[in-house]
Amino acid sequence: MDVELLSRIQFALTVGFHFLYPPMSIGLGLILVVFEGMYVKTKSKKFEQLTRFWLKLFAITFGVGVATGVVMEFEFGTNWAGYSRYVGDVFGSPLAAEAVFAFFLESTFLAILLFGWNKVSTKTHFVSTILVAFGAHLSALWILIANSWMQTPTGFHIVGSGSTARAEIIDFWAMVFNPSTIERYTHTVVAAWLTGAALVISVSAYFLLKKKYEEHSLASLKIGVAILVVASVLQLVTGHSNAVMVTDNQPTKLAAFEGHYKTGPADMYLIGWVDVDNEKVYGIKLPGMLSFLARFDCTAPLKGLEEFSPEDRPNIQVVFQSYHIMVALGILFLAVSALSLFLWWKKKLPNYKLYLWGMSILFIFPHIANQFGWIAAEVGRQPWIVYNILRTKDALSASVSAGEVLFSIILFTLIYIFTLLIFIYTFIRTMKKGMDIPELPINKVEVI
Amino acid sequence: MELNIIWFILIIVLLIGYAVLDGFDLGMGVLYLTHNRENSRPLLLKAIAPFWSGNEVWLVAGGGALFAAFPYAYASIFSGLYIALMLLLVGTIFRGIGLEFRNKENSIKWQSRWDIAISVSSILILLVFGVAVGNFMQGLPIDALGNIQINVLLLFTPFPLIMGLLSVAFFAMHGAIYGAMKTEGDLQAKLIRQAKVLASVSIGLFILAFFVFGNYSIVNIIDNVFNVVALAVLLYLLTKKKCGLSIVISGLIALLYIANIGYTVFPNFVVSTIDTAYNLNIYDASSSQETLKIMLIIAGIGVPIVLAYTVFVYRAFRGKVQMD
Repeated sequence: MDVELLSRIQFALTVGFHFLYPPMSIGLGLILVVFEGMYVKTKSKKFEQLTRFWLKLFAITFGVGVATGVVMEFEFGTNWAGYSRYVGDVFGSPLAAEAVFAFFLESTFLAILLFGWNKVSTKTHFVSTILVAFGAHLSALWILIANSWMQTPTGFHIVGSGSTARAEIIDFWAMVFNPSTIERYTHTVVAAWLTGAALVISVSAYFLLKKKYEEHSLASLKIGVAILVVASVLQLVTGHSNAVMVTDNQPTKLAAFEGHYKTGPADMYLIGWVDVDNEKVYGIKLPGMLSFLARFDCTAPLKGLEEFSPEDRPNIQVVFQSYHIMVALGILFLAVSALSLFLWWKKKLPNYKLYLWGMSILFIFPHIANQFGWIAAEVGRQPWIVYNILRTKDALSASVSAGEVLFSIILFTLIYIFTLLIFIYTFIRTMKKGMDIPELPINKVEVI
Repeated sequence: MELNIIWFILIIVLLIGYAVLDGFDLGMGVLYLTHNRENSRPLLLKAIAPFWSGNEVWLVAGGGALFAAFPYAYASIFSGLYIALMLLLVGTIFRGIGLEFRNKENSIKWQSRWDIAISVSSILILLVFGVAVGNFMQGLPIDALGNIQINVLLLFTPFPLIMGLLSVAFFAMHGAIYGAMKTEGDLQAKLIRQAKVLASVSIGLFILAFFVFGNYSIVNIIDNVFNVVALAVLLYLLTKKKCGLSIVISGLIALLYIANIGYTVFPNFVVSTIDTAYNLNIYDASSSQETLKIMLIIAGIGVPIVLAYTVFVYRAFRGKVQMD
């Protein structure tokens, strides 16, 4: 295998594993603010215990996120030296800003969250929780700015030519608010809320099934469901705005989403298989629906893949399938939201075992949606590392051999799988140890 | 002052921040296995628990700043020292999850395995860093295109190895002093004993590195004389159990030594052993003036805020650590 493919595999592998954790930290950050906010406001023991319990799970998630994330800050240099030289002038500053404005904030105040209960006042603790959650959201913003610039680069010009050519910044804010930043940031953050909410729902449902901490778990289930409902509806909105944005800015990616080859009105597939050789798609389709979503007109012509030469197209099959898995899961979250709201309205949220069983594995699905959504977005950008500016094959490190990359891939694969297993094991153990609650049921404690 | 020079200094400052702060928790990791598993290690972990992940951000910030301000240096160095960098990253991952998960189970097997992971990875990180710094002082085979082609084993030549050992010994001392500051009784006494031994070893290694490297410039002579005198003072202070003052001194030694190394290689990031015409300096490696200006604004707003809340959090956790 060549260095390009190996380097892509390594980056996908490391960032894919890393991307399991930050969405949970962002989502749980928000949920911790809600729990602790309820505690500060009502002084309820129930919410104090929920806060302390979820803080433990948050800490594990955050810790693994940090450990797996440090790699990313260096990997551009190690494996993508060509890229780093070409775009460092533009791309480096959001990464540096992330460390200075966000990562320090999260890491430093996390200490207060975990070890500061007896060192600072309740109010200071709550403010620290808000700062950690804010830091997590801000961190995602700077990373998404950098990543979105790779999709829709603006605010720069190319200086020099040949091997000394590079992108230089001319307008920092145009780079920051490039055409896809807002759409992609909102879509990603809402996905993170959904991921956090699903995790809280799953753990709460598990406890309800086991008839443990029932009062606590019902409260956390309701908060989880409320966030799930809001997030899954918002995801319709941000998903749509992304489709419009991609239509405007990355026609090859949009065409690849639906395997749209011939310029003209574009269909939307519910499920399908792309016959790449014959440039056809087999499956169940809604005629004109993609045109409608992008332009509010079923007959609006959209650029097909035929307008781009094969070496300028991404891997259509991968993009098509990833995109459809993400969309299907989005619909699943809407269905789960509707069902949960209905049960809540009927005051039967904790009554059905089947519902609770289903909910106890809900946490897996946002992760699948996150991974595939990200694959659709990033593979859809190929063969460009910076869309229409720099090809991936021109972005590699000249001094790194295929053998070296293979060595590091094996190393990272082993470590990341090990890390994931340890994370799952510890998460489950911590969850099963449960909450620190005195012997008496909670309501009696409060009476006393 | 020119922006390129300002940013070279700021990169060195970030490196110093990382060395002085993460240095004490990495250094504690070096000595960690010599302490009692049941009684002492949990206290040592408790002493660094609130700080280590914040300290590590200095490294990430340094990486980000190097990328933004000097992308050519970032690209050449990290791709050229590929395997060494991977070892560093692997060490960082293991240390992170070790510190995170060590106390999540009460089983002896679980804890002692993570203890080994914490200690080995701390030693690995300090060693690789020291060796890397030694190589930068010596120069690297960087070519006309800015690529460094070198077998990883050739990085471990005598002088870089001395620097690697110095890094391990010195920061182990730094960590022992920090530990002594945060503990009492027998544990504190043992940490002070260890710090004293390591201070003596560091004096020897500083002198050895000085003569092997053979740079007899005034600045380097003054700095190394300072190192020896300061370590002697430190030995005296440790006898008096003045740990707070001692850690200020060990921090100051690290600060001045790294600044001295920066001054030695300035204005280069990488001195070429092939041809000095290929040296990668702060002008050839840098981003545009516009980006350096933007970055200066980002640092000007961000860093004071970071320092303010870092002081706040360190103050919140001041004083000795005790078992729960």
